Amino acid sequence: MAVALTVGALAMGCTTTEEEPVPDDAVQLRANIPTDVAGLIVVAANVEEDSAVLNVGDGTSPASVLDVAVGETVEALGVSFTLVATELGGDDRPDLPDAAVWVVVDED
Amino acid sequence: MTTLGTRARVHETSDRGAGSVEYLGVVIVVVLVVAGVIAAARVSDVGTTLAERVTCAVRSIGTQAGDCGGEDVPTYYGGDAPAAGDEDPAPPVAGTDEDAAPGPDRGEAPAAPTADAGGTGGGPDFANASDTRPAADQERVDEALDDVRDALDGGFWGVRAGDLDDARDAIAQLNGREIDALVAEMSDDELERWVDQMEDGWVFGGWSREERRELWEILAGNASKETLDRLAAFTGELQPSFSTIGGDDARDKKDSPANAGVYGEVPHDLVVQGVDPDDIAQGSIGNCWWMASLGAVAHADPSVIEGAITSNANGSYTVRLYDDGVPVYVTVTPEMVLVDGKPSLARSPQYLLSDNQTTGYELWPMVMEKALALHYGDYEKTEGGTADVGLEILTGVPSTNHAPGDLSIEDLAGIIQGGGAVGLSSMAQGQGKDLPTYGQQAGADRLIRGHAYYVSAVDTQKGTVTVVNPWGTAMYPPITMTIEDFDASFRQVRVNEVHP
Repeated sequence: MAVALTVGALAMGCTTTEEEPVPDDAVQLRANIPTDVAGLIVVAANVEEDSAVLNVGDGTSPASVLDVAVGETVEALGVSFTLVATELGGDDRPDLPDAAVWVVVDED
Repeated sequence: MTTLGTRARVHETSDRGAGSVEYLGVVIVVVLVVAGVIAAARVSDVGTTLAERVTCAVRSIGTQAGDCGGEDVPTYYGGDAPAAGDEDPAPPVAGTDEDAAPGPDRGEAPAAPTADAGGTGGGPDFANASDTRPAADQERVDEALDDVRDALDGGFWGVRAGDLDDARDAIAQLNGREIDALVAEMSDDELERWVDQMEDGWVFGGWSREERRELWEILAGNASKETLDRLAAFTGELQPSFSTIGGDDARDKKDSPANAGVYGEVPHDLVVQGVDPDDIAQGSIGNCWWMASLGAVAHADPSVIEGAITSNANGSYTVRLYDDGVPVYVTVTPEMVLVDGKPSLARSPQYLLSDNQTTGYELWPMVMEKALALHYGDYEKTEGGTADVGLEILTGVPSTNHAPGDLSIEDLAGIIQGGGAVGLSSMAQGQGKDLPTYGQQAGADRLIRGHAYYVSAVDTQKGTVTVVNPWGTAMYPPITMTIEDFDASFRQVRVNEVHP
């Protein structure tokens, strides 16, 4: 999968931090798009080659704003998020944040 | 007086006369052969695709429609576009209270879809349908059905645009229950053929997207859920598609709306305690520009949005948008894109609804989002944009764009206090890394790159501007910053006077 992603990324002229295989259970978060994950609303933002900001909320109270580097794990509202990869580029549609991240979610 | 030159031309014309007759004969033979081949192909399933492609291509030459069932840019639905300066025309809503007749008791089983004279007709309704649609007159239904079937017969030359006009006119004179009864009496094959002829008709036939939208508006604003569900099986133009939200690879993500979404109706009221900018919360779609525009206008003047939505007796909503300053009416059903039973795109908090028993959703942000998707063609087409465009679509008033710093804090305060709306574009991806407003030190007030915001307050005494993230104020409270930080942190300030 990593090979495919890397080849795809190179073909699209974008950069990615995916040197290790992205786990099958990793969740992709498009930058700036609120996404339902483990009963929470998670938004990846300000994505860099090796880091991102995760905004995690339950929909009713102020969200937790968490800086996380690739390989690092952060926790919010009882759920842990490990950032396993980021991708810059890959979506050439105009006026859209052109980035994504992959996180592994642990609800323990 | 005939000159030499003129005579020469007459002579040449005369010489060519015999050749022209021969040429005309050849053309007639070729046309007859082509028509015969196409007609033969149309009666066989095998040749249908080829025939449709050929006829569509020929028709598009004749009509200059330029489409073979493809997507056009929508301009105006529901009638001729009003001239500039005309009064806002009334939206094409369903029957009013004055001509309303009692509908079926909501506790009873729905009436049979075929209507007896004076009966109610229709099938299952949307939850908020008021059931005030007039009763059906079977005689009117039968006459209209004859007209529709005549129009769709077409004869040797097939169904032309004029025939489709006749079918639409027959539908337009019916009330909602009569439309239900008429559609119920048509077979699936008839309905499919009707849609096919609209989208990809015979020579010089077919309709543009605008023309098709006029018919869909009549149906969506009047017919029952059962009727609309049946028609939606044959066209993607009644319910905007969400299957490409997120781009090409969205279907690979099992929980994405594109993959897991279904249309469904949730308990709802259109508005709970008035339209309020805090009702806005962006969902799993890249339309921050639209949600910020909704928030900005709701903040500037909630009545603009309240006045833009009309509730129809069949439970649908007709939304007034603007296209280049011209009103455009788009009717949407109350069904929204759900994942695991919850709204997945625009969201709203849950409230105790007006029946004081049910907990449900405030639907207006979802209605406005769906109306834009239907106007643009589908949800994916609404991904990516800027708030100046969104503000124009909502108000019909041109927006102006300004570089930060071009507007003083007094200018900004004057716009907001004067009832104007201000949208913002934050720094693009890769920009603003060194700005404190985008850094970790900003904490929960950190700005998001590549995002849209709107201005909610300006304090000239304190020298501050307050901006709002359309992800929802419950999770992302407004951020107040100095005017200096404001000027440094945004790429564009997008101003709309709302009421110039």
